[in-house]
This record gives sequence, structure tokens and C-alpha cells, in this order.
Amino acid sequence: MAEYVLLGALLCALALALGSGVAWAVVVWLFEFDWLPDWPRILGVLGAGVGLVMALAIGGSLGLLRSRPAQVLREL
Amino acid sequence: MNLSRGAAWTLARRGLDWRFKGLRLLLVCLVLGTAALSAIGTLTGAIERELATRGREMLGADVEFTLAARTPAREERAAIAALGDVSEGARLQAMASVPGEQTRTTPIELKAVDAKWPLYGRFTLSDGTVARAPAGLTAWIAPGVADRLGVKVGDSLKVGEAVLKVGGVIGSEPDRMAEGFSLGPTVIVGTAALDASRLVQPGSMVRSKLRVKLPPGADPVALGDGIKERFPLAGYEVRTREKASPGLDRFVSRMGQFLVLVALAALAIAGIGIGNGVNSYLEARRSSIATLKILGASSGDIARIFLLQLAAASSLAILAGLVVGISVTPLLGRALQGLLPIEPGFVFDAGALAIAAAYGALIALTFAAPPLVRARSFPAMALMRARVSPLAGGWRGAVLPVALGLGGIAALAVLTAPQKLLAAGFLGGAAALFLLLSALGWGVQRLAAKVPRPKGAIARMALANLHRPGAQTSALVVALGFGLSAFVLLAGVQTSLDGNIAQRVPNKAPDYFVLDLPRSRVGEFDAIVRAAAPGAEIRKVPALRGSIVAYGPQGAMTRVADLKQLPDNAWPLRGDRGLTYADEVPQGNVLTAGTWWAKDYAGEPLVSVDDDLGKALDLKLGDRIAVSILGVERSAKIASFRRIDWENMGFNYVLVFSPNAIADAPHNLAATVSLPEGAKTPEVRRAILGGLVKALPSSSVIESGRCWGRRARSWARWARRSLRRRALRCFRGWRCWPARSLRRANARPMTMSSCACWGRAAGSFWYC
Repeated sequence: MAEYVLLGALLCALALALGSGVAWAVVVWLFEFDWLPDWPRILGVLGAGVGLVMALAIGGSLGLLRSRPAQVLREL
Repeated sequence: MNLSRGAAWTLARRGLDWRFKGLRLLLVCLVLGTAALSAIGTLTGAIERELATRGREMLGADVEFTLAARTPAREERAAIAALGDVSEGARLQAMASVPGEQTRTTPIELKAVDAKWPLYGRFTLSDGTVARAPAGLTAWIAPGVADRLGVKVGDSLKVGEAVLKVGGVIGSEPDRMAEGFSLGPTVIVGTAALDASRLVQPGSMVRSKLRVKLPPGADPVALGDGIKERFPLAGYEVRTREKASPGLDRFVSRMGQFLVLVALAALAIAGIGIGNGVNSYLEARRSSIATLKILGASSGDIARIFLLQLAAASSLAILAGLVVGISVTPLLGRALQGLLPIEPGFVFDAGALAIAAAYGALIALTFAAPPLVRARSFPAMALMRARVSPLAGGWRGAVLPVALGLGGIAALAVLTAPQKLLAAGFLGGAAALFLLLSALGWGVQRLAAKVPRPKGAIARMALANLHRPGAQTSALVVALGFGLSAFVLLAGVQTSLDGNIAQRVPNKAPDYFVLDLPRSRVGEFDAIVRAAAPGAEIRKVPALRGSIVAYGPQGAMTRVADLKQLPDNAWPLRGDRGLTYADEVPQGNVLTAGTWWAKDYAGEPLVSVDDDLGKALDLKLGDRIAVSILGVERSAKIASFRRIDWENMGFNYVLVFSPNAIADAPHNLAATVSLPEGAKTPEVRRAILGGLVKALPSSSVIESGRCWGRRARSWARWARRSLRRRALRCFRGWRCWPARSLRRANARPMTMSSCACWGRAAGSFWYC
């Protein structure tokens, strides 16, 4: 799972940059408002999104994690 | 061999696990996506149908004529009466208070109706009684009035100079939706009570309404246009049953379209899951596929068998999604009841369901195509060896079906969209993001392959997992990247808007807005405010209503009535709007061209025009603008253009005249009161509110601070809705003037911050 945690962290950073960039453009250019994001809320939303994905991913992998190696090898 | 359809279906049926093991991801994605699309489509369609079919009930008439600041002249009334059965009424802002208790007050929307009201629909009281116009000095009050003033049926209520008896609480008002936003809860009275209130005076901001029930077969649009042509200067705003609430109609259509696109984007992300699910499913059946091929099944047979299996699973998922969509519609309808016209109960919209099903099928087929094509194209031995020698390539065959599928989705989205450019832009943006994330995924895989192998076994395996054949890195980057970016985008925009509203509005908003302040009572008004709060800042402006009827160079003026379509950004030409006059450049305005007239100027009538409007109408200094005020046309020469700071929370007007141009027309004033910090105490507020309500019963005093406490959240919600709406409008135009568009929303009213401003921008407001 380590690689997916790493990938998840990378995607969080990317989403933060990409999403904030587009949001900034929408707020500043389109609406001509000040860019006044509430970072704790944004990070909270991002964290909740990642948490949901992780929960679903781990939930979906439980069967695989529970399976016995010998059984898996026999099925090859 | 080439299997017959029957044989292929038999094999597909036998091979299909009816517990859908291996296809559950596909099922979940399709069910959710189709359910969202069908619910949105069904709900939007239901609301639009309600708007179309119930237009007569919503408007309370076949055609409605509205006049600002005056009642219809005898000739006009006679002409309208000749069209059919007429119900006459009025609507105005007022204050209601409990007699003898000046501090128990609330702003209300006073709606006066005659005995014929409602011409269509049914008005009921909260106890279920069907009623019509209240008799004499009785009033029907909205629950909000009862709550705010603590009055009940049988109690007394003072409105203007009339003491009314509460006869009942409003349950259902048939024409409520078409009335638009109101500054306060409604109080319905009869014409006798309106007269007794003495609120309708020359210059008061009353909107007179003549609702007409036409004989069968009559064309309301033609008849409405006929009256406008006959009385071009009267300034009638005409609405017909076909467009009872044009703003709401537009809003529902655009919001529905926007939600469909959002759901479609979500379904497209889910498509990646569908593709992975199908891939895993076929992977698990690799041996079966190889065996079938060894036994002589052709690639076409393989494709047909598994396509049938996927089609069966997808059909069931889409069907389930449609059922879920239909089932949640009544819940959504119940949640939106009162805000939008929607009948409770199940709605079956065949068109919306067909579109949702088509989207589901296209997404399923498009994203399932690559693994299917791969499965059919590899020889049996390659499939058998796949576990030790993974299959590579095979994507070229999928290009055509995927392109066709994506093209079909795009075509369906664009063709069914009321705003095709918006839909195309949205799809283009989503495609660009997909490509960007795909490239990133590919880059991550390449990077992982090139990074030196770590020494630790776990780290080495982890790294290899990112780039090994069959690694899902790209799919994960695209799906998760898209989803998380969308979350951040929405959170960023929303919190920024909240931040702007929270930061700007309360700081700049005056504490009180006073409407319909008689010019003769200004001294009294000042004295009451100054006595309670000596340091209060008071601003007063003349407030008139009128409509622009012509503009352009002298001798070649364009008549607004002759325009088939209003020029872009020329919104002030629509309907009547606020007009004022001033000796000096209004606060927050900057002259961009021309000069301001001197104090006590007495020459040719002059006008200063909003710079944006000047550009929209291609006006030059020296051109003329003609307005109709109380049915009289007045023309003025353009002396200057102004840039208006619409967010200065003050009174902002598109047209500001020299006093000699319009000051002789009957009118009242509007005022704002800003209290010094130390004076914002309950005692001072009670003194001001109580004093003004007692001394100036015909004026409306709106306490913005109180409104803030009560309405800040709903304003923020409205503001976001408004911004989204304007964003859609901007996307539609591709050449939007976003700030102008937004300012227009804020600016119609006198201020960005007041209840009046935010609320009335959704409908129409006196001061703009």
C-alpha cells in the first residue's frame, strides 16, 4: 500500500495546486472578487475525499488481504 | 466458427454470474451515475413543465400589466379592461407594527388585491379555508409576520396609517412564485385597507398591477404588445402566462443543464472504474476465452458473448439507476417545495430517462471497449501465457469504438443542452483535464521505471507496482486527480465567496435603509436619527422610477420598443428602473468622460450615464436619452459618463440627471443611516426604529444588521446561486464581461449588501 499512499499524497498536492489554480481564476478573473479561501475548510474537504477513497479501497481489498497465500497459489 | 445470436446468448447467459461477481464495480458506477442523471433530468423537466403548464396560475392571469410608481390612467385602464376580466391590485414595500408598540415592527410586502383576485388558482389560509381578498380592514398575513410580531388571528396590526385586523394566516398563495423575491413577508389586504393606510401617495414606490383573464382563444402576447404599442410612454411591464416567471424559468433550465454536466463528469470518472471493472472481469475469464478460441470460436464470437454479458449487466444497472432516479425525485421535490414549482409525487419523464439511459449505455460501452477489444484480438496461446507473459498492446483496435463512444457522449451532451456552447466548453475543459492527468499518470509510471531500485524489498515492490505491466497508476491518477481537483475547486470558490461576503458586506453596509421618505419630512427624519445617534452618517437621494424609451444621437434616436433584441449588457433597457438627480458626482463614482453640471444648473436637461451602459449602447457625449417617468417622456443630453463602484454599498444609479431634468416629478427619497460604532446599541436602535416608524408610517425602515443576523446565510446561498447563474451566462457568451455581469447582479439595487440588494437582484428592485 505504500506506493498508493505515496501516489495519493502526490495527487492531493496536485489536486490542491490544480483545483486552487482554477478556483483562483474563477474567483479573481471571472467574478472579480478577492481570493479569500478558507484553507482549513479546503484541506478538510480534500482530506475527507481522500479518506473516503481510502476507506472504499481498503474495504474493497479486505477479501484479498484475508486470502491465504496457499489458496491463491493453488488458483494460479 | 461463427456463433448464431442464440448460441452466443446461451453461452453468455451460462457464463454470466448472476450475482455479478466481478462486475459489481461496473454496476455501482452505472447505477449511481444513471440515477443522478435521471433524477436531475426528471426534476428539471418536471419543474419546467410546471412552469409552462401552470403559468396561468403562477401569474394569476393570462396577461399582467405592471406600472411603477403610479396607478393606470383612465384611458389605459379602459383599454386593458376591454381585453377581458380584470383584477386590479398593487404591491409595495411597507412596515407593519403592533399598534402602540413601535419597536415591534417588521418590513413587509404589502399586496393589495380586489374582490376578483385570484383570477386563477386558489388562495387558502393556513387552516385550509379557501379565501379571496380580505374585506374592509382585514388582512391575511404570512406566517413570517405572525412570528416576527407575535400576532395571531384577531389581533391588530398597523400598516401605514391603517390599523388592520389579522383575519388569517396565509397558507397557499397561487401567484407567490411569480411575484419574485420580497423584502419581507407578505400581508394581503383589500383596496379599502390600502386606501386607509395612505401609503400610496404621489412619488411612493408602488407597483400597480392589472391582471387580465382573457377570453378563450385570445393571444396574450399579441394583446400585451398591443397595449404597449398603444401606450408607449406608459412604461408598462407586460408578462404573459407563457412566461410567468422568466427569471425562474431561465434559472431552472441553466441549473439543470449545469447539474447534468456535473453528473456527466462524475459518470465519466466512473467510466474509468467501469473500464477497470470490465478489465478485471475479462482477466478472470481469460482461461474461458482461450478455451473458446481453441474450440474454434472466432474473435467476433468472443466479442459477441462478452458484449452480451456486459450489455445484460449494464442494462440491469441502468434500469436500477432509472428506478432510483425516479424514486428520489419526490424527495427532492418535497425538499424544494415552496422554492420551486413542483408537484409532489412521482414524475415519469420519458425524455429525461431516455437521455440518462443513453448516457449510461454510452459510458459503459465506451469504457468497456478497450478490454473487450483486447480480449478478442489476442490468440488463445497468448491468453494462456498471459499470467507469466502479460499481454501488451492491443489498444489500437479500441481507438475507433472509444472515439465513437466519446463522440456520441459529446454529441448527446451538446445536442440536448439548451446552451450548446456551455456544454461544449465544459466537455472541452473536462477533456483537457483528462489529458493532463493522463500525461501525468504516464509520467509517474515512466519516472518510477527509471528511478534506481531501492534496497529494501517493500520499497522495491512498491516502486515496481507503479510501473509494472498492468499497473493501474494512470487510471488512478486520472480518476483520483480529477475527483480531488473538483473538490478543491468547489471548496476554493465557495469559501472565497463566503469570505468576500463576510469581509466586505457587514463592514460597508449601512445600519438602516429607509425607503419612501417624503421630501417634506426630511427634517423630522434627521432629527429622530440625530437625537438617538448624534454621530450617525445619513445619506439621502431622490428616488424615482422610470424606463428608458429611446437613446442615441438627436434626430436619430433608437426607440427601445422597436428593438427586437436588447444589445448585450444593455440590461437597464429592460423594464423600469431607479432614476435620480444630483448636484454633485455621486459618492463612489468617477467621471470617465465629459463634465458634471454646475450647482443650480438651469440649462438644457443633462444626464450622466453609466460607462458600461454607454459602451453597450454605443453612446457618445452629446447624444440623448429619453426616459418615461409616470407616463411622461423626458429627454436629456448626455453630459458625462461615469464608472460606478457597484460595491461601495451606497446608492448607485445608471442614470443620474441634472436636478432641473426630473426634480419636478413627484417622488420621495431613499436614505441610509450608518451608526457610529459606539451607537450600535439596542437602546439606540430601538429609539431610531421606534421613532421613525411612529413619525413616518408611510416609510419603510429596513434594519440591515437585523437582516444580517437572520439572512446572512440565505444571502450567501443566493449569492452563490447568482454567481453560478452568471458564470453560466458568461460561459454561454464566450465574450462575457464577468465583472460587469456580476456587478449588474449586485448593482440593480442600491447596494450590494442590503437585504434589498441581494434579494431584489433576483427579481426586480426599485433602486437601480
